[in-house]
Amino acid sequence: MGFLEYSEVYANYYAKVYRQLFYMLNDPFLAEDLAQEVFLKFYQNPPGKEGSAGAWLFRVAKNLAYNYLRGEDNRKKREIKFWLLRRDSEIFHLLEEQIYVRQVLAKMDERDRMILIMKHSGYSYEEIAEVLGVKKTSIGTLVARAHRKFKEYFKEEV
Amino acid sequence: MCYDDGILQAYLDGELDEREKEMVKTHLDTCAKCKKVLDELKDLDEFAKEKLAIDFNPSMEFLKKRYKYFMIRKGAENMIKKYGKAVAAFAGVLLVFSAVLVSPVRDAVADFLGVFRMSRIEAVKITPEDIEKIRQRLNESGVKEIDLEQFGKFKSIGGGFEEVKPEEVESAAEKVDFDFRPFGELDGYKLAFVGVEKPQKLEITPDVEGINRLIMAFGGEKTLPEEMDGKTFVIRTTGTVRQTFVSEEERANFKSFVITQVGAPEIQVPEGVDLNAVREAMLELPLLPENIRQQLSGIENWQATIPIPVDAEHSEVEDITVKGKPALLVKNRWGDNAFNYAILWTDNQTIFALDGSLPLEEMLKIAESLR
Repeated sequence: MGFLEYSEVYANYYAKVYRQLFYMLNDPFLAEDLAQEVFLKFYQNPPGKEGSAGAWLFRVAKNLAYNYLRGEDNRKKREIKFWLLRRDSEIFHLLEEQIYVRQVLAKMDERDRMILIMKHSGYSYEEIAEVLGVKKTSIGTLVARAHRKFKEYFKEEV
Repeated sequence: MCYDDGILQAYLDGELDEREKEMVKTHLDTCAKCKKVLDELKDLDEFAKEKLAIDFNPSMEFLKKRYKYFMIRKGAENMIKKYGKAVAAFAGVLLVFSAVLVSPVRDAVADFLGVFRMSRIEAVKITPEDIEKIRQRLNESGVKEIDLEQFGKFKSIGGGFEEVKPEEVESAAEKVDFDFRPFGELDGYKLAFVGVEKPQKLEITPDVEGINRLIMAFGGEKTLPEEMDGKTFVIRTTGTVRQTFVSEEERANFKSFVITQVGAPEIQVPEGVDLNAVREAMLELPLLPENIRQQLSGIENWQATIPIPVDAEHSEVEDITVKGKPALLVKNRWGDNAFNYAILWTDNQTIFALDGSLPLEEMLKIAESLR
C-alpha cells in the first residue's frame, strides 16, 4: 500500500475507529491510544486484497478493545481504573451518561450491539455486512430492528 | 407496492443507489403508510444517535497533525524494534552518564568511590521532531543491529511492584530505602490506592571497546576513556511510592490526584574514571539532536540532577516555587482548553510529584500543605 493511499485510509477512518473504541471503552484517552495501535497494525500488516480496509479496522479495533477489557494483569487493570477515575469533572459528567448507555448496550445481543456501534461510528452498510457476514441488502432491516431494541431497553432500564 | 423497514432505513442512511432512491422518494410522496413508517424509523434513528453521540468530528487540520505524530511514533517504534533494547538502554545510559557528569570539584572528593545522589530535577523538552532526527541519523549510520552484549554486562537485583492497603500505608516505609512520608487523609480526599516500586540495584560493567565502535559508527569523534573498561558502575534506586487520593463525594463531582514519592537514586562511579570525558563523548554524539544537546549541557550541577523528559508537543513547563523551593509545573494539554497539571519538586533526598485533574489553585494548595 502506497504512502498516499495509507494517509487516505487514516483520514477516512481515524474518527470512525476512535468513536467505535470510545463506545466500547468509555475512555477518550484509551480510545485514542488504541486507535493509534490499530493504525500501527494496519500499517505493518495491511489486510490482503480480499476484504475492505473498513471491516478490517473495525475487527482489529474490536479485538484490541476486548483484550484490553479482559486484561489479566491485575496491576494494569487497577491503573486503568484509576486512569479512568482521574478525569476532569466535566468529562466525568459525560461519562455518567456514557456508562448508562453502555449498560444498555451490554444488555443487547452481540450482533445488535455491533450493528449499533458500527453504524453510529460511521461505518458503511457494506462494511457492516462484511463484518457480520450477511448481504448488504439485509443491513437496513437489521439496523431498524437494533434501533427498536435499543430504545426499548433504554426506556426499560430507566 | 409498499417498502419494508430495511429499504426505508437504507433510504434514511443514504445507502440506496440513485435509481432505488428515486423510486422510494416517489412512492413516499403518495403513500401515507410508508411515510409514517419512515418517520418512526427516523425518530428511532435520532434517539439512538442522540444517546450514542460522541462529539468527535475532527477537522482535516487535526487529522493531519495526528497523522504526522503517528508516523513519527511509528518511526520510533520501528527504531526500537530494529535496534532492540540497545537503543533504549543506550539512551538510558546516556541520560545517566550525562546526569552523573561531574564538576571538577568532584575530583577533590574522589576517595574510594565517587557516590552521587541525584536529588535534583530539571525538565528536558523533547519534540517528535527530535525523535525523528535520531531515527534518521540511525538509518544514515548504517548500523543495522545492536546487541546489548557488545556493550558490557548488565545485572539487576531486586525491584518489583507491590500493593499496600490504604489503611496500612505506614508499612510502605519498610519496603523502600528512602524516608517515605505517608499521607492519610487530605482536605476532603481519601487515600484509595497505594503502590510501591521496590528498590533495585543495577550493575553496569561497560565494554569500552564495544561502545567506542558504536560511537564511531554513529560518527562520534570523542570516545570513552580506556580506563573505564571492565569497571563496574552501580545504580541504586531507593524505591517509589504512589498514593492515589479520591474525593469523598462520589460521582458527580469526582476528582482525584496522585502523590508520587521517589527516593533519590544513587550512583557509584568506580575510582579513576574521568566522567568529564564520558560526558563529552555522550554529549557530542552526532546522534543527539541539537535541541536536546543544548538542554542537557545547560544543566548546572550535573552530578545531582535527573533530567525529566517532557513531551514538548503536548506539554508546557514553568518554573515555580513550592514551600519556598524551586519546582516544576508541567501542563499537559489534552483538549483545546483542557489541562492536566503535574507539580514536581524535591525535598531533601525525595523527589515529589503531584498530578491530577484538580484546578491548578487546588493543586498548589495541596502541594504547599504536604508535610
